[in-house]
Amino acid sequence: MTIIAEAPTRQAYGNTGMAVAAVTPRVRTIAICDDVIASLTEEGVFTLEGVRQRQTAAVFPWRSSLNVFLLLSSARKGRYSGKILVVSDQTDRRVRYVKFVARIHEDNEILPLQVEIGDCEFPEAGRYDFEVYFTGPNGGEALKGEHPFEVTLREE
Amino acid sequence: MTKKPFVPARIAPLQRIVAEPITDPVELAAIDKMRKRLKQKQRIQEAATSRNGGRTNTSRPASRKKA
Repeated sequence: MTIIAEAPTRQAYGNTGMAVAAVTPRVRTIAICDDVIASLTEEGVFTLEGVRQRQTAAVFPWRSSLNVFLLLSSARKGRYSGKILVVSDQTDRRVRYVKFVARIHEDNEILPLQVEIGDCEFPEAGRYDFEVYFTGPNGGEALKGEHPFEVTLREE
Repeated sequence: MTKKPFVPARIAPLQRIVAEPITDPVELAAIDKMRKRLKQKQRIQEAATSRNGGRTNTSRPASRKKA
């Protein structure tokens, strides 16, 4: 099992007086996988199945149902609206845009999150980016993490 | 030097979420616009960093500032 941890990208945008990045959860880990199983005997232990950095397609367009495992942390409890955008690195074309809400019940909590993003339709071989955004209380948004993903054509 | 006390973080149980696809054309257009703006900002920051020899802080050290 491999978990790819990326340093969060701290870029905020929007018409804000306060940096959105500072008041939204920090993304500690991003892993694209088939499934996440919580341990029955140990708290805070998870088995990630089929963690992938790439996907091999037989034909294009190629459809694939993917899960994104996120490990979030936040100094403040609350409900945070997030988005995962899957975009082509070459064409900037959108593949999948989804939204979700993460609930952090206590201050300084670490939240493991399995987000089912559903069917992604990859139009061609290439590199794609999974981008994770969170919305601040004033509506501004911040890019909190990115993960590259490759789609290749199966060789006969 | 005093040792920092270790307080284990609370790890919440795993939350499973089925994300909702964004299909509203207005919302999609707003996201695309927001991404474009962010990329532009990123390019400006990268150009400023490369002009500055990799340093992100553009101010001169106090000792090198002109009086």
